[in-house]
Amino acid sequence: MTSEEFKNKIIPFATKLYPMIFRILKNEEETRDALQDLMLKLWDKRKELDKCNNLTSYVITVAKNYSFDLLKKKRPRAIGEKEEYRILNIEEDGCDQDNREKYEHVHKVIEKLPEKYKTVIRMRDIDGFSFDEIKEMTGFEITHLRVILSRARTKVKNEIEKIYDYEDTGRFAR
Amino acid sequence: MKIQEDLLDKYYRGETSEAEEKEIKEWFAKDKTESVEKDMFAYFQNENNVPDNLEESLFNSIQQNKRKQFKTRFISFVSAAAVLLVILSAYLNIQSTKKANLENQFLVMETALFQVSESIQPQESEEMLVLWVDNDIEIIVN
Repeated sequence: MTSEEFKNKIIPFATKLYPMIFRILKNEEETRDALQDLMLKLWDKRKELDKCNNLTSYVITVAKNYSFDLLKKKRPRAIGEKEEYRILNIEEDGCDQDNREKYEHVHKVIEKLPEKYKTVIRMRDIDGFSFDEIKEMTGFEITHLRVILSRARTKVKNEIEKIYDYEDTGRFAR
Repeated sequence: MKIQEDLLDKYYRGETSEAEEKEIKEWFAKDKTESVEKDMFAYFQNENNVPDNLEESLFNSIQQNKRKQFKTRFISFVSAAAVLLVILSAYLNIQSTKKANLENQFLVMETALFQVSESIQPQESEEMLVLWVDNDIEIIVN
């Protein structure tokens, strides 16, 4: 595999993997370093990449093992400089305070979902992985994945509606 | 609006394609009315915080590493060759001194032998009877 082929076929996976690894590390710099490390590992295996007939499956498997390793040696949470800046920036803006609250609602609702629902909805709706890629990562069949996704999406919607209804009735009661 | 609702139903059934989901996301980003979905999709968008130049910078770092790897490989090759050269020259040096030593010893022995043969050689006198001479042996009677 030439470096040009590598750039076109392998590097684009980084865009989908970034949010996923960010969720583990919660720090922009570390996420970048981890992805760089992962890409170098794949680059060192470029001869094997040429031989395997399902590139997606290979890359996803390597990425999966890599993120498991990251999870294992994850240190206590340290907020990155950039992320701190992002939070500060939003707060300074004032008008985004409202949006931040909304994001918090959705975030909490997803956080409370069962593990596999959480994983699948994040991989699909945030990261933008294809069903094939999610199947490779989670081991669930595609028909099963669609069911999980459907339930997760509906549940998130209903839970958020509940929060909003509660807020509204709370407001009216006052 | 009707199409949008169909698409949204499909979304909740988990049957939308990636392109359709992109369409829904874009639609809600533009939509002004407040809705649960608008917040959901805004959140999804916000969580996908990929830096702009990510792919490019990753590729560059690989290129750099490639050069570094080449350099270290080159350096290790050169140092291995140097070590080999030193060992080889040391070996050759030992061999040549050994040979010189041997030659030296041989020379000493040769002189010693010559002296011995000289000492046992009888002096030539006029009156002697040569009994036998050939290439190897001389038999003389004084």
